[in-house]
Amino acid sequence: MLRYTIRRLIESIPTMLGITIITFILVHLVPGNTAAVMLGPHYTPSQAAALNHQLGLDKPLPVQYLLWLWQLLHGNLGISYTQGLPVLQIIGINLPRTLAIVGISTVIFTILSIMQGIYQAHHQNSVQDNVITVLAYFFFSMPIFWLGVLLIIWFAIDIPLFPAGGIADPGQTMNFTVWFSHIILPVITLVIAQVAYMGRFMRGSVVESLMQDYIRTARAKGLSERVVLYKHAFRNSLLPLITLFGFSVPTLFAGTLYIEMIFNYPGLGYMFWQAALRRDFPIIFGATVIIGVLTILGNLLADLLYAVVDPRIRYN
Amino acid sequence: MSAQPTFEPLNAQLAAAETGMSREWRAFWRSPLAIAGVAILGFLILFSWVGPMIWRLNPISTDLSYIISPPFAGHPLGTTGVGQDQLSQLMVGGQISLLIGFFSAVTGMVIGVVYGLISAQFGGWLDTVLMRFVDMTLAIPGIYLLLVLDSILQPNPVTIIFIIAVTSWQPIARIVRGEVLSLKTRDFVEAARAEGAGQARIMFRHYLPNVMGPIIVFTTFQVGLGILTIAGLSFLGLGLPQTTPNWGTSLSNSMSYMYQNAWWLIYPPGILIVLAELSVNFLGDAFNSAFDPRMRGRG
Repeated sequence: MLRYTIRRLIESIPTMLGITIITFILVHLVPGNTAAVMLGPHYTPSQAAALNHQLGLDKPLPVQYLLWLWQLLHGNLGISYTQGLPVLQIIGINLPRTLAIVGISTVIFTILSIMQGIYQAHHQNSVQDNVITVLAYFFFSMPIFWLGVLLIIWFAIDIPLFPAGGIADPGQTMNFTVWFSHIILPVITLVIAQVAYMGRFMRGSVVESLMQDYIRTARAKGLSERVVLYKHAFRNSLLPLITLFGFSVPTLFAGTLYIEMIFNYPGLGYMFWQAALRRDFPIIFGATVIIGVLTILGNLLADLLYAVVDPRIRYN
Repeated sequence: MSAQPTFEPLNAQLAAAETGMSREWRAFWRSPLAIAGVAILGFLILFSWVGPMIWRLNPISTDLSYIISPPFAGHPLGTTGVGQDQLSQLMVGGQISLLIGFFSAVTGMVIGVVYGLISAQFGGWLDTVLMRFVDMTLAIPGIYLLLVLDSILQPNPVTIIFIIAVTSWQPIARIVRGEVLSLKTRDFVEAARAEGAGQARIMFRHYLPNVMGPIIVFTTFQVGLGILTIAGLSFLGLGLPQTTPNWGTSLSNSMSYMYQNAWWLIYPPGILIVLAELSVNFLGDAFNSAFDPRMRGRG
């Protein structure tokens, strides 16, 4: 298992390098003048030249790439053009906020999808099953940003239960309770969207498991339906969920980008969006690399979880 | 092209494949999901193309005496923040949203199919390199790539189709490659090769018809993703200019009137997008159960 993990980590290095090259090329295709962004509307050509020289933007692109990569390997992602702070420090502040939303949501939507799948498979083709399927279709078809807007209108404006956005209200001192009240609506938004997506697969997966021979054997042995469902069918239905989870790491980050934008929540997605609007290359770079790493780790984690859940899979 | 081959067993196989296909279509049309999908999509197409012929108000022109007006006879869905007629905005906007969804999915499909076919057909190091490239692009979430591409290219319907296509072709390339790899060893391909069929002929005449099922399913879902993406880009302030009405822009404009209870601005564009998504998801699932032999007969 450890050897497999290490091999997979080494194998992902070329992919990581590729991500840095793609990002680098894309970012340098962007028209837009960094000097204009940093110096404001009034600057002289010599000021711009000095700044470009200082930032290394006057060197050939491959040289710029190698210099940047060298710094990256030393844990230096550069200085944000617009905020004047090290990118790593900015990401260090923003990433945990995003991970908190993604993490809390993941725990909740995993449990809810599993419950939905088992419930629907158990009551297959009943009225409840069909109602849940229709609801899931509906929420699955709903743009996540519209869902977020509606939740704000309903539960922050019409019925002011939760804050409409941000991370703390003006004048409020930051503490855990304040922060937590601000992430409730974003988390609910992400959970609804993900359950609508995963619950359907979970239902299909449990239905499939229930048709297997070993389920018939278990029932023939006289085991209670409860034991059959939760001990026999459930464990084998987890496999597709894990695959789906591995694939959905980028989807989760994409979802949080919209959510953070709607809720004005200063996380990684919000930071990236702002950086893209302002051509803040070091942040765009840093965020893309970090998300690339997280995605690859997510896929690896999914592969390793396979082995834990499915005793037939052994990595040796 | 070489002389027409006369190879009886192969022709028999092809004939069998053809009847198989029509059986799949019959299964498709029996599914309630397919009927619902076609009905909703038909409604949206009528709404967007026939609607403007009946309701003839110019969607762009502004009526300054009615700004953010609730619905009344003159403006059945009210007016926008600059006094445009919301109903005609949504009708004309539907054309752009649906066309972008359709063409971005088809463009992405073509890229993915050709890429997957080449990767599987030539194999070896080329296959490895091509698939590693897919891994890399998949590790960058599409929306992040979209933001970068969108700031490089001037957003108009054609560039938006291109942007959505280049951020969504990868899964279909993987699907096609996987299917073709499993077809490669089959007898009918051997037979075609023995007859002297070239690489291109094998790719497009023998592999392609056999992977059509998954391609149709995936492309159908992709139409929905395209409609969502263009709406999402509008939301991020990176979509089409205000002069090109589309559902995404209508929806994102309505955000500014969240606190004014302007329900006629907030709900209709969202509902139209949900209907479009529902119809393609229904159709995609109906295709899926029709084309997947394991699912056939199970509804």
